[in-house]
Amino acid sequence: MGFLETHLLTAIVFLPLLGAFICLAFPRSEDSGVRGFALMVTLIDLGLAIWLWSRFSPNVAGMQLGERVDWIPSLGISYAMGIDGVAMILVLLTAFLAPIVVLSTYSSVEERAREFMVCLLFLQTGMLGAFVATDLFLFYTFYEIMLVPMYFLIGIWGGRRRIYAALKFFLYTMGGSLLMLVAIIYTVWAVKDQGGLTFDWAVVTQRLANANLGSTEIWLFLAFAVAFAIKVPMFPFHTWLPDAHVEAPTGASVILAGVLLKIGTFGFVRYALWMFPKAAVAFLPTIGVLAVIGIIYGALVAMVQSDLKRLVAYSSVSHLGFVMLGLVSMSVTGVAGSVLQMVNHGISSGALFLLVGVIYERRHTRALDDFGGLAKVMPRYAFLFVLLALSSAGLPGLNGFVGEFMIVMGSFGAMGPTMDVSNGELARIGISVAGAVGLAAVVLMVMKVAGLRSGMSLWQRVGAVVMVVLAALLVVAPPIGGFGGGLLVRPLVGLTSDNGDFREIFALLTVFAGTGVIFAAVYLLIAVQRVFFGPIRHAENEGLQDLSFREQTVLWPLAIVAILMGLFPQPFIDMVNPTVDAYARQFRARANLPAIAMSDTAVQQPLTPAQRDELNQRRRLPAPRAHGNDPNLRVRKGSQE
Amino acid sequence: MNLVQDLGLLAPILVVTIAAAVVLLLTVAHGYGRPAPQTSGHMSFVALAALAVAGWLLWTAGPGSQQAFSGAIVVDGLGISFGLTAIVGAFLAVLLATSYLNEHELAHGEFIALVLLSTVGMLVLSMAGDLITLFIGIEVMSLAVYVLAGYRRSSRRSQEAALKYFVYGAFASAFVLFGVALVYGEVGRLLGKPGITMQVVAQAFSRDNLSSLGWIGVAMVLGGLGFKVAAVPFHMWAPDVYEGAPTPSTGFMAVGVKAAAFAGLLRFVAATLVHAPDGRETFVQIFELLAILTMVTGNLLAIRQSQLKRMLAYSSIAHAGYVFVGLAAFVAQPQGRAVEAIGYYLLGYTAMTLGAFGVILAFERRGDRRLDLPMERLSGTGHKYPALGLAMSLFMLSLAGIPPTAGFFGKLAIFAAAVEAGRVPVVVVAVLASVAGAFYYLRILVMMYMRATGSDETRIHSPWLAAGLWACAALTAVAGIIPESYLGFARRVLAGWLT
Repeated sequence: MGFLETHLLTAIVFLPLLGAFICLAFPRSEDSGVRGFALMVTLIDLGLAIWLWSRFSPNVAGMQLGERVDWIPSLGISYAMGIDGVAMILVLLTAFLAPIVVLSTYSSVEERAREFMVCLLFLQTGMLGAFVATDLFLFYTFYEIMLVPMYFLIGIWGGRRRIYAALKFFLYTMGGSLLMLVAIIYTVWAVKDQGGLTFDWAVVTQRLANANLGSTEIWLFLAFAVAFAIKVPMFPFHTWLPDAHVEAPTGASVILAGVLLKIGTFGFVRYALWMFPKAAVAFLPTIGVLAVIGIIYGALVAMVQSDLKRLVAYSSVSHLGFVMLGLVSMSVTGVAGSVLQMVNHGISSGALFLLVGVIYERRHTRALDDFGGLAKVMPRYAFLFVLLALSSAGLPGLNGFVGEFMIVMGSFGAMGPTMDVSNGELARIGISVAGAVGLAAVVLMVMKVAGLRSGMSLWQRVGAVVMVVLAALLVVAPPIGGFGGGLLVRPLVGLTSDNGDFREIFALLTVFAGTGVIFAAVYLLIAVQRVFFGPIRHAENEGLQDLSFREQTVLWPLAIVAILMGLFPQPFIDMVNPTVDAYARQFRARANLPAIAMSDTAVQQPLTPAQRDELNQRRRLPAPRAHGNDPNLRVRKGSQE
Repeated sequence: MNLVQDLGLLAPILVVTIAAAVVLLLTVAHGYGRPAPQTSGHMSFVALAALAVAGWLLWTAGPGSQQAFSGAIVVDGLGISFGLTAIVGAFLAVLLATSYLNEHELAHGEFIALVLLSTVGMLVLSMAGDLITLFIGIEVMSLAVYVLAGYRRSSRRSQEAALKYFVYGAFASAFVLFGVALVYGEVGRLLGKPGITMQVVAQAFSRDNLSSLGWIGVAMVLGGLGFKVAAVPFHMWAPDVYEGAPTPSTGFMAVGVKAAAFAGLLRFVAATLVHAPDGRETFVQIFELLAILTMVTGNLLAIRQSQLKRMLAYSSIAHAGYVFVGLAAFVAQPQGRAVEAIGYYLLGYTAMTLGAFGVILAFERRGDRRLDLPMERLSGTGHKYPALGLAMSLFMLSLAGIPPTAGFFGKLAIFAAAVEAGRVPVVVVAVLASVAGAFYYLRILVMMYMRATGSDETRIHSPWLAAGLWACAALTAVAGIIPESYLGFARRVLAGWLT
């Protein structure tokens, strides 16, 4: 027991891999045996994760329960693991979803169950390892290794276009991550003179803070950011996601939406933003803009889908936009909300994919038009679907609300970066990029939503596109010199001069993001209405079986967690808060952002406990020198020097 | 220097040479021309034992550099580490070849002996102390491989491959020889006395006052060796020869020749370019250009292939490009790390490429008149033969550079060496090229696992094949998971190599 206690993280990470190897020894024919075995392995893993949780002390901000062995000493690579609040909650999520997925495969995976279990368990090791690794090389190894089982899961058990989707998924992600590998190597070698080679995440971060890499840091940040942006996926990099989701088998979709995407956002928290704050700060607004575009784009595109699974997939793009917005707001509430939202999205989307899988197994179609009135024949199914759809849409009292509300609050009150002139130059690039992307987004969105692709003659189509481009230009791009920006980009312009603190950007972005909440309600309710209510239009639907006992066993845990996290979010917030608090503060300090002051958080809101904690904690701290109330008092980088 | 001492230094080479002689004698004793009986494996055992002994001698060698035969042979870190890779390649190739020879009822003795003789050439090449030994090493290695390429005498394509390889190869050898002559003349001009050993050449080059004839000589030697590693623009022969040669020959040729030729390249640039600050930067850029061309050409053309051996030929071209990145880094900043990285890369490449050829070989049944294995024929085989599929997955993922395999860590080591030398742009190109590369390696897995219709291919079941594939897979995985074992060895033998 003593050994297990000191190597608990290793045990949690590698138990599934061990299970996968044992699964290989199972005979090909005996299907049920291998499923039961995999279920047992994942349940033990969940037990270990809960044990880990009990040993995790939420008051410590840094890494805990670490392990460390030299691995490749000649390159300074070590086998180092540790866990902080953010990783803890994500490990719990991963361990929690695994048995549910295994249980769901009893009906959905009919052939090659053994290989499916091997892939699933292998994937589990990759994901858990990526969360707990504290060595850049080790992290990269787990990060890449995840691709392989997911590639097989989509490619072997997927739908009609599975090979295309699997390859696209693999190559997209690999392309991004290989650039990140170059950035990792470069970073490690760039800070080598401060005491030798090391891939240790904490040490490298520390050294980067002392080093002056100049403009290279921007490239390094971008390499990390693009790798994770593909994984999240953020707006312009999202195209692999709908394909992968639609083609993937149910179990893989659940894992993909539930955990895999979180590794992207987790990567932003742990690596991209944290390691390169000086470069990251210039891109915070850009990422924010992209996140908001993602929110609205995802929601609007979800609204016009006729395939239920595609709809849920696009809703992921939208929800992860929220997560990213909260992350870049760099306020304690916002980041904590983001982390919670990662978990919430894992629960709700995972559950929705399972529910879509249930109906697909019965009818072998996912088209919304093939359903209608299902509430009459499948009342239990309808109840759970509506409950979890509402949790995804963010109904108060359910989990989705807590996260989204905290994100919106946090980012609305967030203090944006105060830029000096050189950073302003940098930000100009950001503005141009944001403008270009915004333009593309508006055009794409209109084309997709208005369905310009069909039913029009060529000239009508060209005319429509030209009109859209012109309109979008008015909204987005800075058309004439002096005007300095369209509606979307105008607030960004403040940061090119060194006297504006450009706080309004996040407020404005939040307003736009807020519309995403409404859209989410719209598309989910439309889907619910079309599937469950009204008359039963198709005779095939009249004899549908309601949820079996096994399906309920799969779905109820998710529903219960969704309700629990909605009603009692406090333990979860407590778990992440110290980490997030230290994170946001240190990021701001290192990036020369204005410190978080009391009055900067939204005023008089008794609603979120995270903020109450934030205030309480701050009262215990020495009063910050800079107060947010009066902009003239704010300490700026320029005036300090 | 007495003869005994010199021969003692050459022990690894001698062991392999004697084994080759023993195998030939056994062949004669067996009766020339008669195909070996199905169970015959004693020649392979002799070869494997000799290779294991030679490998063990190299693996346990100490640091430092010792000269034999007045400097014609240098037993130093470079020779030891690359010689070991060549021996590993030969060992795995003998395992795979035995099952192939059994299956196709081809004579064992000559094949095994030729593999051993070629290995001797590789060892000599990687331990070459002067330019003449370098040339002799190339020739000994190549002549045996030409014959191996044409080993299936009944097959016209095998003959064609051998002839093509021989004609091109003879040209390349002539280039090397002419280049050596020019360098020799240049050394004489600069130092006022003739000299051919690497040390004397280095001395002359550090004068940094080379005439254009000297540079032409350098370029010719580099071109000749570039042919051996199949770097663009000297790669044209590779696809046809890879396709036409019997599969075990192709595998052996792909890995051993490449490793030894890179050892020769490293030795040559370490004696010449590294000491000439004037021309060095130019050559770094030329190497990088070659690396980029090789990686991009290899990977892009590999995507278009529908035959497995042809695809692996282009893949081997692309991999030569990655090694060239390391070579450029070495020239830019001569230090042990780049050599270690290249050594590691080639060792990993040996294991995974031979493994891939082993899987191809497994589907070549007796009487099979096919020249190459079309990719479609693999469909469904991953499910049909789980062990074979798993092994192939490992090799393909390793070739694509997915951690924690040897292919990934090799790339990391090479990229790290290049970044350390301040050569970032070429690394970025390499990375993008390997994304393109991943596409065609993954396509093999698509075929093996994701196609609905299964093909009716059957596989060879042979303990030799199983042993070979297991060994390749184990080496690919173990070298990837604990690379320190090789790096520690390389660091030990390379200590003080460049000073």
